[in-house]
Amino acid sequence: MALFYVLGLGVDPAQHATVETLQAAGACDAVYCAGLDRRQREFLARFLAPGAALIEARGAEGEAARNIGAKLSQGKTVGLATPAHPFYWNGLAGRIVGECVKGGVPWQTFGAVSAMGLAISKVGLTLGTDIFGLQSFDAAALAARPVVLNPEWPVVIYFYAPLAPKDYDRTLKALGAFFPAAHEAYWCSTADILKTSVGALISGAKRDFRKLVPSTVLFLPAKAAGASPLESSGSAESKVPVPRAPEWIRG
Amino acid sequence: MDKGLTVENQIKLLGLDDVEANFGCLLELPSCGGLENALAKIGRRRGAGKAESLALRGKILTLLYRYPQARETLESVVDLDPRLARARAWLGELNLLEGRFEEARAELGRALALENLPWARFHLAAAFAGLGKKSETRQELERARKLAGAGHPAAAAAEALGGLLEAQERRWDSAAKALGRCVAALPKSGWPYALRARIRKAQGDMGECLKDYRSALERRPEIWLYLERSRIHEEMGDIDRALEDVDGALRLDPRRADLYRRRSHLQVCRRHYHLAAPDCSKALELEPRNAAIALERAMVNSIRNRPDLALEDAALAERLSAGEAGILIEVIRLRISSGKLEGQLRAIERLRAKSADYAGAADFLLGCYRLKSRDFRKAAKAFALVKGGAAEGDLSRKAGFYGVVASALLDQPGGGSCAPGPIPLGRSRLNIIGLGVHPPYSASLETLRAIASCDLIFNNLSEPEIAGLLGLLAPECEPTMYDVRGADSRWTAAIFDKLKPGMTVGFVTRGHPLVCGGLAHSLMEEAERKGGVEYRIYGSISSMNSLAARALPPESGGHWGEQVMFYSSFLSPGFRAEARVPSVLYFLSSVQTIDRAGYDAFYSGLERLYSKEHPCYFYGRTFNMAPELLALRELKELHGKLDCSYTLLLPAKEGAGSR
Repeated sequence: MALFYVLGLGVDPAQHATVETLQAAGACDAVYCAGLDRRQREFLARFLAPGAALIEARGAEGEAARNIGAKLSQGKTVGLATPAHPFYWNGLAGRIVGECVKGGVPWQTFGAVSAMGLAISKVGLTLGTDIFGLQSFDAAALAARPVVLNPEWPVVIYFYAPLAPKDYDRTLKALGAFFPAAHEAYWCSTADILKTSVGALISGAKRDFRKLVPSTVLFLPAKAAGASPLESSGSAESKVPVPRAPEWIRG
Repeated sequence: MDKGLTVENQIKLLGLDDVEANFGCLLELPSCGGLENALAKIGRRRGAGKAESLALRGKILTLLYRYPQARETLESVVDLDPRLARARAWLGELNLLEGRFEEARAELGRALALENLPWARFHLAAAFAGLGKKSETRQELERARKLAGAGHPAAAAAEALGGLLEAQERRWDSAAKALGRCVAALPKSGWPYALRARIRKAQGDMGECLKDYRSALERRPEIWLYLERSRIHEEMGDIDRALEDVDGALRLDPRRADLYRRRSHLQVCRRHYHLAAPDCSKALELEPRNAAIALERAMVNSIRNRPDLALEDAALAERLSAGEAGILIEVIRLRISSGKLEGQLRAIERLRAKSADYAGAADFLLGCYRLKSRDFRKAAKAFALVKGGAAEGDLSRKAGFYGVVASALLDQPGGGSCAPGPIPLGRSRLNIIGLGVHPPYSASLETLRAIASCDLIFNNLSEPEIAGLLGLLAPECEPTMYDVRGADSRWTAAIFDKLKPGMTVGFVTRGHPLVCGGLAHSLMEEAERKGGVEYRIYGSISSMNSLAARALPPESGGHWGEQVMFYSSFLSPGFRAEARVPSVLYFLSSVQTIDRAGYDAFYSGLERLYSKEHPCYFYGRTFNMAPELLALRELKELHGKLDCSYTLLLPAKEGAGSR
């Protein structure tokens, strides 16, 4: 019987893929993947069942959706794996799930480590103690549309959608319109965290663009005090919680 | 009892004419004490009346479940007086109880040829039912009803059997009606209610099912009734009620080991392992030679991370089991988990040599051994054999899980290993690790590697699978931390007490340690205050990630962002949020005491972002349960009904557009 798995491998698949996601991949007759480089595809292939196909979902979304739909109509178990989570990677998973719902094909997904989760691990801020809200946006969205930002919450920016250099510039401009140049910013990768500022990001855009990978995450602390009006510690001044653990934050 | 009474009067006095058929699981009995007394009083007559008295003894022995003695007695009566219809009828009934339906049919046929007994007619119908002969069954039931007449227990039993036949055909309504007639015919009996309860359960009408069990218990409290209802409560997730029923059964007989085992099982379901262990001990006290109970206690102690006690119990189970493979498999697994590897390879090979049936189990244990020995490549190979072999069900599932774990711990593509690098001289390392909302299955590869790099693990996770995983990955585990809430300083002190220079200590928790995590926060603060401690947080799937994955996307397009909010955010002046991305909304403990005005301000904040009909997915205390779907406007009336265990998922506003 056909079954569709929506498989999120987390921000950095080799680190963040979960056991249940990989087990589900291992139960598939075919796994389509998008956004994985060669090493990541080799890594995922280790967990597939013998004889199961790992297929890159190339081309337009419509074509990829048709190919996956054709496999499902053969009664196969099919997975779609992307970094992060397919519902956030692009529109393909949503399109296929919509078809599954119409056609009565069961589908299943699991949580995946997100840019938000990675960011707060890296900077060491506790949600519900240090901060009472968090907002996370794809860089391309910030470049393309006026996004409502809450000044009391930190901002996390991720880079799932393909970005041209001018889009990256627009993203930084959007941040610059909201945060002053001296405002702290943190460049997070799985292995490292680098402290910088909004101004430095803007001035170093051309250089930094070349370093961008899908697992790059930017973290900007809140602009305004973010203590909960109900849970404040009672101090007269509410300070903006800043990332801790200065020993491992470079820069 | 007057030995001169006729058999019929004796039957009446003993209440035996009130005894209904047993379909292998049900019997209305006078108390066992009464039957034992009756058995003692029935004299072994000589001459006239001897056969009748012996037959009565046979019947009572049947009622006391002493089937071999009952058979011997009744067969001797049939030899003594082949024309005593009642003896043949009771022998036929005994055959029925033992599932010997063809023999039952034959014997009951002979009894009915001698005398038209209503109960024998009914039992013949039951024998036909056992043989799968539906039309003969219905025919005999009709005859039994007519013969017995309204109000006779045999007629009621016939209604009941008819109802069960309807249930077999999934005609639930007519089954329930037939049992209803049986209930009406025997208002003082409990078993018709019990039978109807089973029909109701099959129909999915749990409310009526539980009502019927209550009625059955009010009429005659029986251990088997309490146990059946306990299982239903357990299936419905109401472990407290399930426990109450076991306590009810224990009040009837406090010397039954199976009841303590059941209670121990329910305490494990509640994750109250410290309460499960004493019940196992009590069961073992009552059945000291029962290897399965010793093993159950070993597993409870293992889950509690008390390897010392677990190993003692495992050794006891092994001694008592006389080499039974099922016990041996778990004993070997416990020993490996506890780090007692010596001799286990030989034990695994001895298990494999017993039979080809145990090959899968032997490979699984070999995988565990390799995992514990840090030979991840061989571990992955061994687990893969289990998956590919004939092993089914639980073993295959576990092998699949551990196979992924072993593969994850192999060298990463492009180099690197699971070890994060040496600790600088004079310092120690603290790994704060989240295993996701569905531990251990939602553990990320990074967190598994972090666990494997620790010298000692603390954890506050109550899932039994966690003990198994931590036992195999970490050299040493502290007993599971219970009652962590509100005890951050105590546990922080306990963890730092173990953090010696050169050591890596891990604290393993659920979800993401920094999402609504108190102890992780305390640990970081202490590490910064003390100095000399490197710490690292390994985030994993938090509730926000788990729920965001369920944030049903628009049909075309994916999400371009997400938000995590606390309800208190809405009380800030000038609060702003982006409604075109999914949002996860947490409630703090203050929501329980916020006044109406404050709650209304929160609701108004939501209304500024979303329409009144905007769907809201309401999650309870665990994020893997199906949510309740509400419209936004329904939140308005939830003032005073929420607490911090609830989470709301607000999908992106419609018309959010595609990427």
